[in-house]
Amino acid sequence: MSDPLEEQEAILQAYVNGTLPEEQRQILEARMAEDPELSMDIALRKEMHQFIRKNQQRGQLQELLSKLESEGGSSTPSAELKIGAPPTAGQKRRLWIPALAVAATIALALFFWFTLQPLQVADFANPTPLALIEKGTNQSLETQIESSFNRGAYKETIPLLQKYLKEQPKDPLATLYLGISLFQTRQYSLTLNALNDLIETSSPFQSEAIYWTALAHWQLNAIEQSKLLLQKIPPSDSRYQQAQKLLKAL
Amino acid sequence: MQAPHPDQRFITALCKGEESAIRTIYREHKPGIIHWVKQNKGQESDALDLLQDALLAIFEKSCDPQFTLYAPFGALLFTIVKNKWLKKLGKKSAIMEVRTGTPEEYDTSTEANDVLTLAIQAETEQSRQSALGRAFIELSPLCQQLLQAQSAGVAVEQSVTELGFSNANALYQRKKKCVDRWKTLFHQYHQ
Repeated sequence: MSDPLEEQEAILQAYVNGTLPEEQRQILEARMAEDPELSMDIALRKEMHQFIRKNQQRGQLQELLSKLESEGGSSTPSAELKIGAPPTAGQKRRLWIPALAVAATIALALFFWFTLQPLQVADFANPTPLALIEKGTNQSLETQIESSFNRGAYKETIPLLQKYLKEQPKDPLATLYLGISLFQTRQYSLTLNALNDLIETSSPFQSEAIYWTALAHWQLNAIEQSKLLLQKIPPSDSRYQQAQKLLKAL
Repeated sequence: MQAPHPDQRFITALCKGEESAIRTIYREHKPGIIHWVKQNKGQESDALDLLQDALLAIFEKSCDPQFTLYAPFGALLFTIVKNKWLKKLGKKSAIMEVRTGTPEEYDTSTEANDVLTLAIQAETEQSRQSALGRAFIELSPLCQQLLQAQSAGVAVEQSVTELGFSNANALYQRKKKCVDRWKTLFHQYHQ
């Protein structure tokens, strides 16, 4: 591990995870005592770590409390909370109380919008900006891909991504964004082909690939297939809300 | 050295996600909180929202070994409920007439300062965690996956393969950017 950034990040992560060897921990804590900025930075990283570690448990508690509210809170105790079970829709219910008013307003606006407007694909086809730089070695090509995709030049992005995938054929992120670019240029059948492997394979990009495949089926008028795929997107996924909206609309 | 109150077990139960104890807390304190909220211009639904929100606030501090209860659990729960309700009413109207008296069963006179300190700690932590959550969902899916993997202690080599990075250095470069972005967003939401 020769790169200073790599070394520093590895040390900080081990520290917040509680796995840093004692000697290194003492050295870091001595530095923190002398450097308030470093100390504050690490304190925030610890909070971030806690947030991630407790996120699932927080969701499970929210689900239990919602259940208690709906059943009156007097039923017989059942098993302990199942740590590790996937979060469900109920867990999301009270996640961010301050955001509920805003969410309700948006939902109301969407309700009226849907009753007045025809279903528009553009309302659902909203890709997350691509962050490909630093994933590989050919910085120039990756820079071009990122730049063209993020400014919406999808036609231009497709051959660049195809070139990149020749060098990195198993890159799931590039495959996903090739599918999205094909979708955005209305090549829906090619979108299905491009994303076919991703939707079948468990990976961090699986739900996103399922979402875009569902959109492609919708555009090809295969509504039932689209609905089946949208139902597969779990409540814990960032696409869940959009998937549910589209499901209702379809 | 003062021993923790026996109700510390409820704090532990929240930390561990023990359903039976959480049901007990809910069953025991729901009627009192509904009664108080109704007396103070609220509805039953307001009380149930407050009860859930207050329990979630306590949950945020429940695994902290320094978070020690020297008073009944109900006193802490009620203090948080009261703070939250007064804050909400303050937003609704500055001239609401509120009976802020504490129910007899939650009388915190002797430990009032301790309980108030714990309540403030729990609410502050809840506010920070909420801001972290709002910021986290704005990160890209790649950032979210990467940070989750790192916090779960997934080996770097495994993350490099699963997330499609070319090497560990590229992963750490990306992670640094993700953390910096998260910090920026957090500070926007938590000022």
